[in-house]
Amino acid sequence: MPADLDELFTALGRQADAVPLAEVEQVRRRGRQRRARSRAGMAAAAVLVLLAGTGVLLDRRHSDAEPILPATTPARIRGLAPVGEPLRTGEGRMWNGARISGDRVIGWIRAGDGSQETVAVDARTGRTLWRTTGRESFHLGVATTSKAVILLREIKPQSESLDEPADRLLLFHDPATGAKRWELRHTDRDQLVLHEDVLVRMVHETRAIEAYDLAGGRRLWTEPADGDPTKLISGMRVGPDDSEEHSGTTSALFRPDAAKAFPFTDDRVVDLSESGRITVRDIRTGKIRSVARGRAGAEELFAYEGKIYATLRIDGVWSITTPDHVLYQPDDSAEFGYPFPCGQTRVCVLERREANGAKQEARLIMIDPNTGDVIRTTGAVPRYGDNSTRLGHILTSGTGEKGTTLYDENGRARYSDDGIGGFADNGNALTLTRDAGDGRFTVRGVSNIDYQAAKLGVIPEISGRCDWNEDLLTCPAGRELWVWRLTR
Amino acid sequence: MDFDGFYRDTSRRLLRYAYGLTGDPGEAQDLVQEAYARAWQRWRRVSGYDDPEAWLRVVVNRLSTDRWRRIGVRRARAAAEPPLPTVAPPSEDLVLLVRAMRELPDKLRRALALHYLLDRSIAEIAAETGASQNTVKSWLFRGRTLLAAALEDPTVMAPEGARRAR
Repeated sequence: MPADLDELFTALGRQADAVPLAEVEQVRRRGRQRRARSRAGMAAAAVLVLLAGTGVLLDRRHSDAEPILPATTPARIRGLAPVGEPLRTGEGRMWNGARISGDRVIGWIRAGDGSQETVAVDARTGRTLWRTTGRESFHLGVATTSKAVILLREIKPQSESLDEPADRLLLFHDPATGAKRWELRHTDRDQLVLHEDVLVRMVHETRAIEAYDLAGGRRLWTEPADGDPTKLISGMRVGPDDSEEHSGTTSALFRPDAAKAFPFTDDRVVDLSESGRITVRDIRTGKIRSVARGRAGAEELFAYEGKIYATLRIDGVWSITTPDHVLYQPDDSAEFGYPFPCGQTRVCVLERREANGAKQEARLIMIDPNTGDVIRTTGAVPRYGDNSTRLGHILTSGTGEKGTTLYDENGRARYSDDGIGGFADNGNALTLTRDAGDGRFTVRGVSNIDYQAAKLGVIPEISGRCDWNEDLLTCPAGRELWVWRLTR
Repeated sequence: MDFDGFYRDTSRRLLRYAYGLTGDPGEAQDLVQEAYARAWQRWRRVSGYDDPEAWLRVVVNRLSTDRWRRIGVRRARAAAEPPLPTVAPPSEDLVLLVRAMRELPDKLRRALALHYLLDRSIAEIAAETGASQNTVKSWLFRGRTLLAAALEDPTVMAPEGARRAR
C-alpha cells in the first residue's frame, strides 16, 4: 500500500470538506415538495382536456446532418427534423420525461407545487392531443406501449429497500383520448410483466399470480399460491423483441423516470417456485403449457425463445443455469455480470476482472444455451448498465468512462462513445453525448451494419429520460418538450 | 433525534462519501441534497433505524448509478434551484485519483470511500454491505492495487476495447 495513496485520500477528504453544503432549509424545501405531492390525497380529480392544438409541421432539416455515408439496409439515419415547435410549459415548471406511444409522444411534468401534468403530442404534426392534470399523490412517471399510457403514482412513500412495501397505483389511460380506463393498486415488492395485451402481476404478499387485460383491466385469470409458492415470474422474449431488462419483469413499471417499457409479444409467461418448479403458461388464459424442474434459490429469472434461465448461487458461486445445465460460473477474480440473450442461440455475460493484478478489464462471454459451451470470449469495455441485441449485435449502455459500446456478432467492440444510447431499429443506434460545456447534447446515429457514426444534430440540455424508436426521438429539455423525426 | 440536528451532524460525512463515489462536487452536492430530502420526507421512520446514515448512503448509492443522471440530467434539474457556492479546483494528483476511482467497480469504490473517507473498519463495511470481512478485505486490496497502478500510469485503466473502437 503506497503511503502516497493514504495521503491522497486524506487530501480528497479535505477537498470534499471544502465543498459547500446546502442549508437545511433548502433540503427541507426539496423534501416538502416531495411530501406535498405524496400527501395531497387521491381526492382531486384529474382534469382531462382535449385540445385541438394548432401546432404546425415544420420540416427543418438539421444543418449538421452528414449525408455522405453509403446506403445501408435498413436505411441509415442521417438527420433530425423537428416536428412542430417544442411544447413549452410555464415558468417554474419543467418536463421530467418523454415517451413514445404509437404515433404520439407523451410528456410529463412533476412540478414543485405538487401539481402534475401529462400531455400527448401528435408525433406527425406536433399538435397537442390531450392533457391530464392533477394534484394527486406523488407522480413517479409514465410508461407507454402503443396501446396504453401508464401513469405510476406513489400512495405511500417509497421504502428504499429497508422497510415495508410501498403502496402504489398504476393508472392505465387510452393513448388516443387520454381517458383513464382502469387502475391497479399494488406494492413495490410485487413483480409485473408487461405484455402488449396483458399485464401479469405476482403479488408479493400472497404469491398469487394475476393477469389483466391491458386495454380494459378485466381480470383474465388468477393462479392462487399453493404449498410451493411462486418466487419469480418472467415474460418470454422472442427474436424481434427489443429489451434492456436484466430480468424477465418490467422495471419501467417501478422506475418509469429512468427505464423504458419494452412490452413482451410472445404469449407465454413463466413462473418459478421456491422449490425450483418452472411452469410455462399461456399469458392470456393461465393454462399450463409445460412444467419443468429447476433449482431452488434462484435470484433472477428470464426467458428467451422458449428457454428458461435463472441465476443463483451454487456452492457459494454465482451461476447461470437452465433447467438442464449449469451454463456458466465465473472464476474468483471476476465480478459477476447479468446474463442476457444476444442472438437466437446465444446467451452473453459481460463481466469485469483484473488482469495482471492491476489493470481493469472486461470480457464478453458468448455461451451456447444448449450445451453451456463458451463459444467465444472477447475483450469488452468495462461498464455497468443495460444491454440490448439486434441482428446478433450487442449494444451496452450505462455508467463507466465509455458509456455506450456497439459490438458485432463476434463480440468485437466496433463503436464506443461516452454517451447514453440504444438501438433505433435493426440497422441503427442512437447515442447522446454531452460534448461541450454548454450542457447541450450531440445526437449521433451509429450504423448497426457498418458501425459508421454520423452526427445528426445538437439538441438542448435534457431534463429527463429521452425516448426513441425507428422514426422518432423525443426529449424533455427544461421548459420545452421536443420531438424530432429521424430522417434517412 | 430532530432532522436539523441530524443534518448538521451527518451531512458533511455523507458529502465526503458522495464526493468519493462521484468525484464531482456539484454531483455530490445534489446527491446529498436529494438523499436528505427523501429522509426528511419519511423522517419518522428513518429516524427510527439503527443507522439512519447507512440508509442515506443506500440512497446515494442508488442515485449515483442512474445512467441518465450520469450524463447530465441532474444539471438541468438543479438549474431550477439556487446554485451552491463553488469550490476551488482539486490538485492534479486528486484529479488522477478521482478519475481512477470512477473507473473502479461500484462495490470497490464504495468500500474505499467508506474505509478511507469515513474511517469505517472492515467489520463495519462488511455489516453495511452484507459481505463477509474477507470479501471486504479483497475489495480494498483490489481497489488499492488498481488505484496505485492507475496513479503510476494514468493510461493503465483506460479500457482496451474503447481504444480499439476509437
